[in-house]
Amino acid sequence: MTTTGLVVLAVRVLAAALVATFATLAGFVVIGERHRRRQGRRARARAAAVDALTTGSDARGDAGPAVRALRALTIAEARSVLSELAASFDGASLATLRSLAASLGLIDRDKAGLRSRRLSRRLTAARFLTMLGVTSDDIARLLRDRHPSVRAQAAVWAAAHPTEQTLDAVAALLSDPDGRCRFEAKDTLARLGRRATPLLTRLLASTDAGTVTASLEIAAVSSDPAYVPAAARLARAGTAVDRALAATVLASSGGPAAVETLRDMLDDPHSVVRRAAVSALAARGDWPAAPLVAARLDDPSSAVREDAGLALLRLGAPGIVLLRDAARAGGEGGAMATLVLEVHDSTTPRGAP
Amino acid sequence: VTDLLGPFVRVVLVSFDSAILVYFVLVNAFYAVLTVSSAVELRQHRRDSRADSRVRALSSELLPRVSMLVPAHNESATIESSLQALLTLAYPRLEIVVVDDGSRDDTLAKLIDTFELSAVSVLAERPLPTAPVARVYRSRRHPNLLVAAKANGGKADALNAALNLASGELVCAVDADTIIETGALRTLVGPFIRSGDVVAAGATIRVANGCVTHHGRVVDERAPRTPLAGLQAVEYLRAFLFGRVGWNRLGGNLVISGAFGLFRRDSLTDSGGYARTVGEDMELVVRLRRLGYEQGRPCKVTFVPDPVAWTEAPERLATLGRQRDRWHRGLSDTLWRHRRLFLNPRYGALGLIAFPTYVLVEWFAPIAEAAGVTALLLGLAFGVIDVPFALLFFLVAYGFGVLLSTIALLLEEATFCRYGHVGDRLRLVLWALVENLGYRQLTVYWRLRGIVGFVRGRTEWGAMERQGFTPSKEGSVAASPLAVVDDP
Repeated sequence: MTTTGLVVLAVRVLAAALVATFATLAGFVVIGERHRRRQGRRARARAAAVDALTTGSDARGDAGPAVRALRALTIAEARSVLSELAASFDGASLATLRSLAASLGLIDRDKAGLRSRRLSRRLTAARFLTMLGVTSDDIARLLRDRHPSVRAQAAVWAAAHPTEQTLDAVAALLSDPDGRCRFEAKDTLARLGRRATPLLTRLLASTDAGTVTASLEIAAVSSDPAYVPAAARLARAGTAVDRALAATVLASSGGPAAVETLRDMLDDPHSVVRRAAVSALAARGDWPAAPLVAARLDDPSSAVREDAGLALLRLGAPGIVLLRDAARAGGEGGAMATLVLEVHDSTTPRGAP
Repeated sequence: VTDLLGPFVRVVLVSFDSAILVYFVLVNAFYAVLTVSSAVELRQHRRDSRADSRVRALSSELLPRVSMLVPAHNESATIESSLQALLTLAYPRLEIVVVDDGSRDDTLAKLIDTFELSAVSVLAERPLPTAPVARVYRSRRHPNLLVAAKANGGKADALNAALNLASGELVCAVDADTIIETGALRTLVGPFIRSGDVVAAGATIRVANGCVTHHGRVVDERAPRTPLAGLQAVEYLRAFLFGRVGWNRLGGNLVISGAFGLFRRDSLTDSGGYARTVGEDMELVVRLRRLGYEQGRPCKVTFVPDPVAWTEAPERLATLGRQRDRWHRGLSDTLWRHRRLFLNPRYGALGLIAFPTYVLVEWFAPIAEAAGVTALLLGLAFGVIDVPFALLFFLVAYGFGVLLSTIALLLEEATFCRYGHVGDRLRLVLWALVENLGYRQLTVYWRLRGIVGFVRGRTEWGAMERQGFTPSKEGSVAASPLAVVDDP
């Protein structure tokens, strides 16, 4: 075939492709009107559902306008409207939404969907049932699903259904290869607060490094004294990251014994840990430790020196006295102390300490 | 004339035309691959994000802290509303770091007054060298708002100063004239949660011209009414919906728009921060990926199509020309700085696929297009090419251009469907049809100008004029562009 022949062929193929694409696009544009109509239908259904929630008619078993409005929608649309509303409700209102969904057959349908071989069906079903707060053993089984999105979603569900078996499965997700699963598992355990304390205390003694770090992260946002013994132990034995996290746990939850551990951590070989210890002592307002913090003004790491300077400022008058002493003594520590004091003097009203 | 030219010139012309033809076929074959890749990627993304509840995540204490980096230079008129919009972003652990880059107007005074700023003792270890920072303030009304006043040093310098002060694990540089959708940040954080290998994530930028805004939010998504903005709207859809999405599966993106992108802070500081160049956003991404390969560190750069930021597109040819000229100078500069990546197997998909494609397809395209048109005209003049062939070739080139734009519109319709009005959709189709008749040739000219400018060593940004966004009918305040810092 000649070049011209090839180009002629290309023109024909392109013309056909263009016609097909334009036809599809035209279809979308015209059918796209359905998008607006759908929005209108959804708005009506949402309003009817809210009305049903406020009147409570559907809780009594009356199909009512809400069910009729929701029935006018496709299954996906009805699911979407109910999920949207469920995000803002709990208690009796959520129960009303569940009864609406049940009368539409959505709950049975999605419970069956949990066992589907299709990922999208399992995921959609798990998300919808989670939003509506539906209890089902099948969702708990999804904590071991082969797909990470489904496992992560099941972990979200577990926050509202914390049985012993469920929590064990969530704990296993702390060392999941997928980041989403690890995040949702941590988030679920953090939200459970004291209900997760026994499990987390056990996990802090785990031999799996990933699980220990994740547990410390949760403990750091939990402010629960139950974690202090484990944190004190890990402050001496864990990895640098774990030791730094342990300092945060000790700062937020620990008593006088924790302060002793934090003081010891000022001599940690890793700068990340020393920084965490300095900040933790300042956060606890442990002014008797001020001389130890002041010693860190001569730390080899500039980040530790800076944190120590700022920590001394936070410790108030004893810290400022030590900063002035250090400034007079000179050296690296003196330079940092001078800098911190300059910032302090320039930002403090006259007459303040 | 042909007899006078002799067979040698004839052979040269035919060979040149053939080379251009081969280039055309290869480039368009690559676009076809990119289209398929983006369709597959979009399908998977839609499936994964369907019915995903972001409500719970927004109240999580474990989400990574995000610092928004906002450079400001002489932005007294707009800085207040820009920051108010940022402060209302739906993200629980948000810090906003504004750097007043030596403004000569009352930007800083206005910030101090509006947000009740107090000087604070923030020293911050400064891993990145910048012009001196005079003072740091924190807002008493919004404790997560930090403002630094520094000597003028340009946009990259201001971003680096903000980076020095930022405390978030992730940082987000916000460009001028950008409106970020309320929930966009939460979606953009997703890749960082899913994988520890991700160092940067980009989002979709859409053209805001024609949209109705209310208190710094786009409340009615409309297609632009003016031809120039409309043509850019189609371009943006094509670039983001099938360009960048497609690259996710073909070796990763080389560009994250400076208008809205999220980065891991330690990777950014370890790589040296923002470089002082006109294409600092692309240069940064290429550097991050390059260093990742060289140091055996994570370097995944991903693109997420559904978080959206809206930007104001230039409405004047001269302004648009300056922008495109600058973009191509930035591209040239980045490709030149990192030229050792070209076809270098040490850098894996980056060196063997992404980088060469950017050189041969993105950078070389205006040269090839200009040379192709010249050769075609010469061929016609000297009788080397006959008129029907030239006409057919033009039809193929035009047809493929329209096909790509149409597919982008189709992907938009099939996935996000942001333009609810039929009239808007039809208008976009119209712009897709006429885009290749004149507008594209203009962009070729501007990009060629950019290449020449790069060769001559031009480094200025060029002034950008902005019209501002359309306020809502209720008479609310128009969304104002965020601070812009042009090189001094």
